[in-house]
Amino acid sequence: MNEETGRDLEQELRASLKREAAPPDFAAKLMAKVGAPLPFPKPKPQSWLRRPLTLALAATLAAMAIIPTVVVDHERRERARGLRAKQDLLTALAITRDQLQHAREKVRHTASIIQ
Amino acid sequence: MKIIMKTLISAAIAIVASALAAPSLRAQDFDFKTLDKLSAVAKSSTNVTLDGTLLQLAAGFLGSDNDKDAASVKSLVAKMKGVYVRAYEFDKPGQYSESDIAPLRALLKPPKWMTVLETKEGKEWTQIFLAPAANNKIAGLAVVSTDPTSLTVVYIDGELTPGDLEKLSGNMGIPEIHGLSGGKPADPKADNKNKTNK
Repeated sequence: MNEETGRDLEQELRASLKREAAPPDFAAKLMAKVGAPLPFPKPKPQSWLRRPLTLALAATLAAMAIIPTVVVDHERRERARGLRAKQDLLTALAITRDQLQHAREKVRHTASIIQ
Repeated sequence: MKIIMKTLISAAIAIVASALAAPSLRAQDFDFKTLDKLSAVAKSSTNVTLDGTLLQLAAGFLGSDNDKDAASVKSLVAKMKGVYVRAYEFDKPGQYSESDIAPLRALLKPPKWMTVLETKEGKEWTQIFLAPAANNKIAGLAVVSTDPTSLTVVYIDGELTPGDLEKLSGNMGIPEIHGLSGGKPADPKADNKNKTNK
C-alpha cells in the first residue's frame, strides 16, 4: 500500500464518519418507540415475599424463634396463676377449718356447762 | 310434627335430668354481690372464688404426694367442685347489717340444705349447713358466721363424705391464718397475702 492509497482511504473514512445532524423528527420517533409497548410483557423480578419456598422458610424460622418464647411465657403465667390459686385454696381451707373448730369448741363448751 | 314432639320431649327430659343431677346449691345462687360490696367498708376482707379448672390447678401445686398432708388435701380437693369464701372484719359494729346476709340464709333452707349446727352466744351466731346427697354423702357444706365486727361465709361445693368433713376441721398441715378464726379478735399484724387489708 503506497502513501497515496492510504490518504484516499483516510479521506473516505473521514467522509463516511463525519458528523451529521439528526433529522428533525428523530427525537419524536425515538420517544415514540421508547413509549411503545413491547410485543411481550417483560418478566418482572419476583419479590422474595412471593416465593413460596422462601416464605415457608421464613415462616418456619419465625415460628422457631417465637414458639419457645410463647410457651415459656404461657408456662410462667400458668405457674403464677396456679400458685395464687393454691394460696387462695389454703386460705379458704384454713378459714373453713377455723370456723368448724370454733363451732365445735362452742358445742363442747355448752355441753360441759349442761353437764 | 313427630320430629318436633320428639325434640320437645327430649328437651324436657334433659331439663328435668339436669335439675335432678344438680341437687346442691350452685355458686351463682349465692348472692355474693351483696357481700362483695362490704369489702369497701371492711377493715380487712378475704375473697376466694375457686371453681372447676382453677381448683384443680391449685391442687396441682399442693406439693408432692410424698407429703402426707399434701396428699390428704389433694384427695379432699379432688372431690370439690368449688370453694367460695367471703370473710370480712370491721372496725366497729354496725358496718354491715343482717339484711346483707339475709338472702344467703334464705337460700340455705330445706329440702336442699339442713342446719347441722347452730350456736348463738350474745351477738355471735354461727350456722353450719350441709346439703344431703344419696349414699350417706354430702353435696355441699356452708358456714355462715357473724358477730358485730366480723362476717364469714364459706361454701364448698362437691361430693364429700362425713370423713372429709372431719378432715376439713383438722389441721392437714394448713398454716394458721391469723385474724380470721371464727369470731376471734383480729390480729392487725396478720401476714396474709390473700387478705385485703384496709
